[in-house]
Amino acid sequence: MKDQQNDSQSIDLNYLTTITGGDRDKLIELLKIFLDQTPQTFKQLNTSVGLMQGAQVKAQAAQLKANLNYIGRENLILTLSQLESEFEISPNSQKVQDLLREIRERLDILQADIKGLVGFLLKD
Amino acid sequence: MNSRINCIIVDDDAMTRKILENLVEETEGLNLVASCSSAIEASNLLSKEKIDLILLDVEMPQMSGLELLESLNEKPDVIMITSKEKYAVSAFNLEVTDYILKPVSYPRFLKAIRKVMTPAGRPEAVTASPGKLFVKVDNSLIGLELEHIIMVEAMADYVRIYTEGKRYTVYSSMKGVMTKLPEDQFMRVHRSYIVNLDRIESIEDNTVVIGGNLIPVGVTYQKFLMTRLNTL
Repeated sequence: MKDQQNDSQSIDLNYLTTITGGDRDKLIELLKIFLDQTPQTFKQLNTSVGLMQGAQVKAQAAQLKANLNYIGRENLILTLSQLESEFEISPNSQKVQDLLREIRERLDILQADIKGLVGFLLKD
Repeated sequence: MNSRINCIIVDDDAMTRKILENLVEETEGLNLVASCSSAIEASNLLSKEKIDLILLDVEMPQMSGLELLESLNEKPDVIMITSKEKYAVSAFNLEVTDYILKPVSYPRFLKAIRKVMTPAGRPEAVTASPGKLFVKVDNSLIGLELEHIIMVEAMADYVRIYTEGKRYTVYSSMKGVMTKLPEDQFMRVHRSYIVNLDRIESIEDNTVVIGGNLIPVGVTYQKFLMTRLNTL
């Protein structure tokens, strides 16, 4: 996917750093919550899409978007919005499956980047 | 206010809860009683504990924030904190105190908390010296005219108050100082600086020029600062 390389380079910690007052331990705690929570939420989203549960799809996409917003990942937020729109039009479509796969791949890269970042912060 | 405001956080998102916990911890006058991951958990707690303020998300599974509010006979103050604007009308119909969009900045959070601390119609605590701030220097209390205060700088456990021609170093936190200064005249523009808005000489890029000093403006305060200035 063309945006994946850009995604992997653009974790924006501005908001979290400000909100934690630059406290490294608090920042690490928030990033760890992101690491724990995001895969679970995506898994639930994937299931909800499969079961065609519209309300759940919206709720889980909203949760993912809120968390991605905290680290400045607008591109991925847009893709999630696109998934929601496509799901509303045609929940069984190939486009929905393609978007889900794209989101999963990009989240995997993001998870790896954040793990690396947490490791770096813990060593520092 | 003499007593602290007992508050709870209600949000199904763990990251948002942790962020709000940080904001509450940073805010003088708030006491966090619980951080709930669902409206049902909050409802159970509200039936047992005296809560003054709910920091409440809207979209949650099983029971939404709005449904929780509708179910309460006696509503505490409520600040809705959500990602979507579309619930604002319903929320204000339920008489919430404020409605904040995520991600929440500290200045916006503080503004909402101030509405809770000094709600319309409730008289504020009367102070005998509304135009002055008394600071303890050695064994004396010195009254500083608020209009003469140019800015306040954080210095570890102390703050340095700059007035015309004089500086006072006082044992206090930035939060403590902020609660003593009128919010229409003073604003925090950085973790380490509070400025008197009437004293700002110019703003260049992300720097305020005040009393001959160059003060950085923190990224989260930039937009808020611009809304506070009378600009053409």
